[in-house]
Amino acid sequence: MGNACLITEIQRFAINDGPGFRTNVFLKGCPLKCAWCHNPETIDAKAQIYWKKRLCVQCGACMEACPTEAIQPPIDPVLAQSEGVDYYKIDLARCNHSMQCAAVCPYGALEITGKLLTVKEILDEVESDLPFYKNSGGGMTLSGGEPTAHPDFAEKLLAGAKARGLHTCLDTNGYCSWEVLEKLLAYTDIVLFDLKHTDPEKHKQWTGVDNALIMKNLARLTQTGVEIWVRIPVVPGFNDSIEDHKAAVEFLNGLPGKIRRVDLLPYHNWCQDKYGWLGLDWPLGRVEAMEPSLLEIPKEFYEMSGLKTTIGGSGFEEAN
Amino acid sequence: MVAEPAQDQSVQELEDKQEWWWVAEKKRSKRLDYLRKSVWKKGALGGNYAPGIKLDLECATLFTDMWKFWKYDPIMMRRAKAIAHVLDNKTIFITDHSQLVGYFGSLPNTIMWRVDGASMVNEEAYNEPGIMPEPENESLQKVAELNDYWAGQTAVDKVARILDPEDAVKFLSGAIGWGAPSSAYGYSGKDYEYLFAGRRGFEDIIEEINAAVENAEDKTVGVPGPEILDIYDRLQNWDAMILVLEAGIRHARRYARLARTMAENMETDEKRREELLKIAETCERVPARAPRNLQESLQYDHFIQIFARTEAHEGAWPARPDYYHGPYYDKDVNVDKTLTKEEALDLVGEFMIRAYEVGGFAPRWAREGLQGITGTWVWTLGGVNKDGSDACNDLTVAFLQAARLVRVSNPTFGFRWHPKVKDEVLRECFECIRHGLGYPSMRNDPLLIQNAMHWHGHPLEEARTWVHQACMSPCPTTKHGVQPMRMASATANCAKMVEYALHNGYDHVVGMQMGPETGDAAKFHDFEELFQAWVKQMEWLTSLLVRTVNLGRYKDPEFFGRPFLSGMSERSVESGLDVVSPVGDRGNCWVTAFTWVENIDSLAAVKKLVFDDKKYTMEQLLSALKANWDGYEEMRLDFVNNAPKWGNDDDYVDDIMLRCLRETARHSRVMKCPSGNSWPILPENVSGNIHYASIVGALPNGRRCGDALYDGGISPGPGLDKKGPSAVLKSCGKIDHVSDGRAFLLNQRLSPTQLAGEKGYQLWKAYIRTWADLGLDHVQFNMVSDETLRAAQKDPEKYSEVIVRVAGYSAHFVDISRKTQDNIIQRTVQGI
Repeated sequence: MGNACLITEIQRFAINDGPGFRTNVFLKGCPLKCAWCHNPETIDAKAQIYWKKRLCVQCGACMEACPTEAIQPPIDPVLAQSEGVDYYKIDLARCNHSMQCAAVCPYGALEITGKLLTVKEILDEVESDLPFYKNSGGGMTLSGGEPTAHPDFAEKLLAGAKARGLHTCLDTNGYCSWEVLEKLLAYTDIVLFDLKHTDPEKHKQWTGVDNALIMKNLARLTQTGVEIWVRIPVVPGFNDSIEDHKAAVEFLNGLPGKIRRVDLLPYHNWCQDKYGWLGLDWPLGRVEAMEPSLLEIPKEFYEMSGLKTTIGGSGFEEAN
Repeated sequence: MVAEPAQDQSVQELEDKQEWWWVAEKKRSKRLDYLRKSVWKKGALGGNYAPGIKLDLECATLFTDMWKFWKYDPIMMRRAKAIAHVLDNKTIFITDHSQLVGYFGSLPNTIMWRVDGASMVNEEAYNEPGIMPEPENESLQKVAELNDYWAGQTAVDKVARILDPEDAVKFLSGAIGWGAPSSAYGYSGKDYEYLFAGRRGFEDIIEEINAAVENAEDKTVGVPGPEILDIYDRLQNWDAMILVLEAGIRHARRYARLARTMAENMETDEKRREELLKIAETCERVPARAPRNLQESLQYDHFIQIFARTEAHEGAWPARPDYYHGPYYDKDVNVDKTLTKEEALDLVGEFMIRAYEVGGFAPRWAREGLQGITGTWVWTLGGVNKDGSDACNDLTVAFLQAARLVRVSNPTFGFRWHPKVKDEVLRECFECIRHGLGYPSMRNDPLLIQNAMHWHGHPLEEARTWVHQACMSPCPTTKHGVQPMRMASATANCAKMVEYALHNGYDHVVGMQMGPETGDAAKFHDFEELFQAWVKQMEWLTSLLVRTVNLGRYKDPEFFGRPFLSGMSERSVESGLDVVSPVGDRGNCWVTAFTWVENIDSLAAVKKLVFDDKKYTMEQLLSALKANWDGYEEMRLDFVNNAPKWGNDDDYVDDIMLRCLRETARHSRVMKCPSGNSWPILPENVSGNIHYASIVGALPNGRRCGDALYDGGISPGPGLDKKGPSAVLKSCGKIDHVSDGRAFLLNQRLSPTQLAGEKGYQLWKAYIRTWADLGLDHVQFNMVSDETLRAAQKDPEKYSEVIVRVAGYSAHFVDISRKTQDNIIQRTVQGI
């Protein structure tokens, strides 16, 4: 490993993940299990199958192709597509990830998420938007999943990008050893650092891990001089109270070094289809997307304390 | 005409909600508000005229009466007298609050009827329900009489009689193209350099004609010889020009008298009385003599447009108002300070409304192709001066501001972008786009100047004067550069090229052999054989259309003739030739290439799935196509999803685009126009993607007969641009926008939330800079959210002012057919 990695998506023309027009590279695999995760397909480090029931006509071709009899027999497509019906195409317990079903599906209803790509393949695609980067101060953003969970590959990719003269952002949850972070910093122009909660208990409850390492890493990062954008996913019931914001502001202002800005990212549930495609239940998905304007008041609060703050994290806040 | 706005909402609230049509209502002056709301919409709603719109019988009758009377005159003279008779006798009116006058019908709610254009259009007029003036029976009788008289002697009838019979049948089948090979329908460029830069009024032109006549008459009384023989025709032409120019001056003076009479005898409001006297003074001055101020300059321009449209049905409006009227704006507002900025904005806004008001009767197929509008009035703004310096001025900004106040869907603007455009002007363009107008479209000025030089040999300085001849095509406004007659009637339904290449030239939709027999596709061994068949079909199809239009152009002085337009042309004033004569004109021709990208995606799909992967045989494919994919759904999806598609920055398919364009560009140089210049292609669609939906058969890109075709010249298929806007631009940037064709239309959908505020502008600016770096010549933005459009479909009244872009022009969303609406919504939201 190290030269290739599972990638869920290379998203060109991204405008909210670092300055300018960017290409986001999403690595698969993440040590955190955030309840609100917007990219559930990036959590598991293995390739997975999407079943898009809206496209499925229940032809049964997948069932015949499956070597482990992990495919449910066809039912009436209308029934399968109706709300609240407990029918998922794949018996995940039996599935051995042969991906035969996706290979034969003529309707695009079964699709593999997670494609093994090499550093060169990724960078060739990233580089094709060079004219956009040039005019906007953009570049590549390495995201996930969690890039630091693939330290060797992440290093090679970032180093390769720098060697091609590309601007780089590292989008991280900060849950890794300092050595890994330090290694990647050598090839990183901006760190997009997720801050989820300052309270250890709540953090653990909603993400599955403690936040001590994360907060320690952020503090240490501010002493390196690297440009840091702190990103706070604001999730209803988790970190959207005024006390939560107050604690975050206090923590950020108490850091030993400077951060460039804070991006408040309003929670949304537009990814609920993806959970469905993976055969996962997503309790939080039933919470409606947050109206971005609700963050105007918290934003003012951050700004009053001297932190430059945006809602949504646009890469075009500052004239380029 | 519009639903009740929420009166209690502030401008700020409305801006936040992006309800731009109500913002405009709150921001514009009382005068503009009245003029905007009282204007009659002439554009057809989903093919149907709005209630109250009537056919103009007065002008048609006046024209025909005098035409009949002078039946022994040469055609130019006969037409001049008929036009003069219309201008001298038709009903004129002055709208309340207006400062500009002139309409080409006889009442504000009438649509002009080009009675001498085409019998088949006349028949349609007779059969169009709801447009006959009351009493309907009498009107129908009158129309029938006029139709009887004109049957067989209209311009198009005359051309049709001399076409090659086989060409004629195929041309008129409607399968491979549309258009009328006559200047009776089309559009004319104006020699603005001669008129405005040259500061000439009609009297100055008449003086120049008289001098030319005197000079010519010296020869006709001189030594006999062949060289003097054609002077007799020219003398007739010159006389005809003078006759109609004088009628124009008289016509304006009728308005002057009317305005003065109203001011002196009827008007009680002191301020309005002054305005009427100003109108009188203006119409006494122009068009007789050159304008002295902004009002006169705009009025002069408007008269020229009205007179040209009294002479022929014009479907476009080539103009560059900021450039030619800018000096007067500067003088009035900045130097003399006789006008405030607000007063100037009123004039500019009304100038746009007066153009919006213009509409002529068009047959149903044309109305469906131009939904919501009566033509494509794309006005040109920005650009460079003849010396290459930035030509943007204060009037450029005023036009962009006025557009947001009057919010008309016609005229729209094409902005000539270049690296020297100032940020403040670019911001005004952006504001128009952000306000959901759908215009200006951005045009890459340095590239298009090169393009005009490359294809038609315009000298650099002339190329720099270019205006949009119709939606897209750059044409200079100079003596030899002006295009006096639409040479784009060669409008090709290009999807037929690949269809015929697959079916040995046979058209299964119309049921006849159309193209050449290029071989049974089932027997093709490799992609090259298919591609060579495509090349032959492309050559055949474009050649047929071009032959037809060339003949129309060559015979136009004999079959139609344009005395007024000739008087507007330095070339004609000097030579005495009818302006539509090809002599001394550089042609400026182009083949409008509708439904072009289907060729690329179809060829790529066959190459990939039949010849490379060998997943299907050609026989299987042909059977599926003949069955319109019915019973082959899984295979069809394979062709949709698993073959490379244009617009994803994928060389596999992008290379096929380049090959197709380059073969066509090569053939463009083989085909010549009557003045010997080339016929490059210009991929765009207007609404042809809907019109041709049921005419184009099933294709290997997975499209079924009846499905809407792709909506833009080089825009990817809806939903098929899977890699987002940057990949679309990258694909398009592989095309050489100078030598691969004339111009290339690209639609981009914008999402309003992301363009809000300063960051929205910064994003758009970076996008535009990249667009320019990649060497694209055109991009236009559709700036309405899906939600808005869905809501507009459900509740049209409430959203009657929403404007969207539909390939090459803007239209009010609720005016266009459900099918087009769905098509727009289906376009990938690009997230920029």
